[in-house]
Amino acid sequence: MTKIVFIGGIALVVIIVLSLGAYIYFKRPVSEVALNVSPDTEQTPESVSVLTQETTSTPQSEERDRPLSVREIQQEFVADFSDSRTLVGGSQYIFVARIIKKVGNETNITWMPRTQFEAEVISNIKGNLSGKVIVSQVGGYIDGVLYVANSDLLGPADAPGAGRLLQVGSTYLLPTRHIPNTGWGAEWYHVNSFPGAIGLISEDQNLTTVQLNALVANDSRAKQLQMAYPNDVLLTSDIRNGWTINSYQSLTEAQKAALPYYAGSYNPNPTSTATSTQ
Amino acid sequence: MSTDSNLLGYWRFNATSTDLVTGNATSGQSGSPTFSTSTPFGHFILNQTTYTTSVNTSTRELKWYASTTYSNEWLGAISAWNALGKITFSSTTPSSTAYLKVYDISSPPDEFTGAWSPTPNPDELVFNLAHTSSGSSTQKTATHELSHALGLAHSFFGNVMYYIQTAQTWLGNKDIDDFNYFWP
Repeated sequence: MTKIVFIGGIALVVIIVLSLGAYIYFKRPVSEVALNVSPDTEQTPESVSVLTQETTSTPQSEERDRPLSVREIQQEFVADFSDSRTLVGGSQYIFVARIIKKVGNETNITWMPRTQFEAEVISNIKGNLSGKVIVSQVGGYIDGVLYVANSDLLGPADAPGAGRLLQVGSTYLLPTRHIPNTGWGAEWYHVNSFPGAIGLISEDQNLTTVQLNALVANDSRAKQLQMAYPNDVLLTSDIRNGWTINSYQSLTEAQKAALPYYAGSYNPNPTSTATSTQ
Repeated sequence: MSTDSNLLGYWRFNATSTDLVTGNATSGQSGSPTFSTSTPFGHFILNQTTYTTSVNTSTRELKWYASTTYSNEWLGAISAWNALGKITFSSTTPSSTAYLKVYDISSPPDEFTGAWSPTPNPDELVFNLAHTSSGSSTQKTATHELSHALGLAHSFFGNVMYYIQTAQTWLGNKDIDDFNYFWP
C-alpha cells in the first residue's frame, strides 16, 4: 500500500511539472518563440537579419530571465569612423585579406564575445603584414548563443560590418587594431566594428592574388583610405597611451614616398613597399 | 514609404526595412542620414526580441550594482533619467541581485568607450578605460549606455543616443521623446 501511494505521488509530481513547463512554453510571446533557433546551428548573415526584423514597441516580458538565442551588444564609439581620416588614424593596420577559416571563439581577452579567423594578407594600406594572420571580429557564437553588435546601425542587410561575421572565402578590406598579447602565441588584429568600416573586395574564393590586387587597385574604398593616410586623424586616447602604431607622422620620408598617395597627391610610382614602424 | 514632398532622407531604425522615418534630412557621405533642422517622426527603440531592457517591466524598477572608476558619471546618468520619474533606480548588493551590473574593462584594441549587453542575468554595462577619462565625455557615455538599458536605440547628433562620443551631458529632445514613448 505504501509503495502504491509513493508511486502515485511521483506520478502526480511529474504531471504537475510537465503541465507547468507546457504552460510556460506556450505563454511566451510569439516573437520570442520565433527566435528559438537551434543552439548549435550557425546562422548566415541573412538569417541574422531575419531574426532581428521582428519588432515590438513596448516591453513584453514580466520576467527578467530571458532564454534568448540571440543577444545584441550596443556600443558607443570613441570617434566617428565614417570619416576616412579618423578610420585610418584609429586603425594601426589596414590590409586586404582573404578569410581562410574560422579558428576560434575567444572571449577571455576582453569582455566582448569575438570570433577569430585565419586570413591571408593580399596587400597593405597601413602597416606591412604578409602571409597568414589572425583577425578577430566582435560577435559570434558562444555556447550556442549568437552575439551581434550594433545591428540598429548596420544598414543594408548585405553590408559587411559589425554584427555580421566575416565569410570564409571572401576577401575584405580590414581596418584593424593590434592585439599584441593574446596568450595564444600569436598576434591578432581586431577588426573595427564601426558600421561600414569593413570593405568587401570579392566573394569569389577562386580569384588569384593578382586578380584580387587588380580589384583592390580599382576599389574606391581602398583609394579613399590610401588618400586619407597622409591626413590621418589619431585618437586622443592613442596619443595619450602611445598606441599610434604606423601613424603617418611616424613614417620615414622613404616610407612616405612608398605610399600610393604622398604629399597630398597621387604617387603613380611608389619607390618601394611601405614598412611597419612598430 | 512616405510620399511627403519634403522628404529628403530616411532613417532606418528598429533593424527593419519598413520602419522608415521621414524628416527634413540630408544624406551623409557614408550613406547614413544626418538630420539638419528638424526632429524626425518615429522613435529609436531597441528591438525587444533581441534586446530586452534591464528594467523589471512589471515594477518598472532597475536594480543596479556598480563597481567603476566613473561613479560620479554613473550617478549623473541615473539622475538624468530619474528626473523623468518613470523608472525607479535602486542600488543593490551583491551584484547577483542586480538587474544591471556596471564595471570597468581596459581594452585598447576595441574602439568603443562603453557598451551594454543583455546577458542572461544580470545585464552588463562596461566602461572601456582605454578610451575614457573622467568628465563630460564619459558622463555622456554613461547616460548613453544606461539609455540602452532602458530600451533606447542609437539616434542622431544632439542626443545622448548619438552613437559617437561627445561631451553632451544632457538629454536631448529625441531622447526624452523616445523614452516617453517606450515608457508611457
